[in-house]
Amino acid sequence: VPCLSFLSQLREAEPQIRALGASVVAVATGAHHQAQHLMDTGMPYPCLVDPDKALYRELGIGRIPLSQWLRPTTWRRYARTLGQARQGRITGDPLQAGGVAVIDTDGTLRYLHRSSTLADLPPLEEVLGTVADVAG
Amino acid sequence: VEVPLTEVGERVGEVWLETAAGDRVALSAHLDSILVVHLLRYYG
Repeated sequence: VPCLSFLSQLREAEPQIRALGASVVAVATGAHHQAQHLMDTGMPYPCLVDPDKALYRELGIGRIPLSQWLRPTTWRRYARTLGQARQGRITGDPLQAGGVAVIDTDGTLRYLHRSSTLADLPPLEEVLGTVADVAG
Repeated sequence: VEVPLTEVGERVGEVWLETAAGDRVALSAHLDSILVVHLLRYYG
């Protein structure tokens, strides 16, 4: 749910992102049909699947450790996103952490947020600010 | 925690992903512009 909530923020920011000369892709470990469903229901960005977690490994984004699942702050963050996106059937690896990256056209990694737990996502403004700096 | 392979300022290696249709696609195929990559925990 937190991931889909952030993806919705990116969708709403599409005009701003395009104006900066940037684009967005979503990547997840889940099922192909769920990626297709997101695009069929209004997601303007390509939704790709990473069944082997190749990109997660490349960027050093691992699984969420048990210690994080037990922290009350984790669930408080998660609860704040409820109602912003609907939870569907979980496919892929539910223990996999997420993240956000900004990659320049030459393949250089310009920004990376590795989520350490549920709902640990950066402020959208931080991501857009980085895009503006790179585009600058 | 896995050892990070790529840090900010370094080039991201060639990574192959799959489209929703199941076709293989290189991440670099999307680098005709600055790319924001949102890595979700899972779709669902």
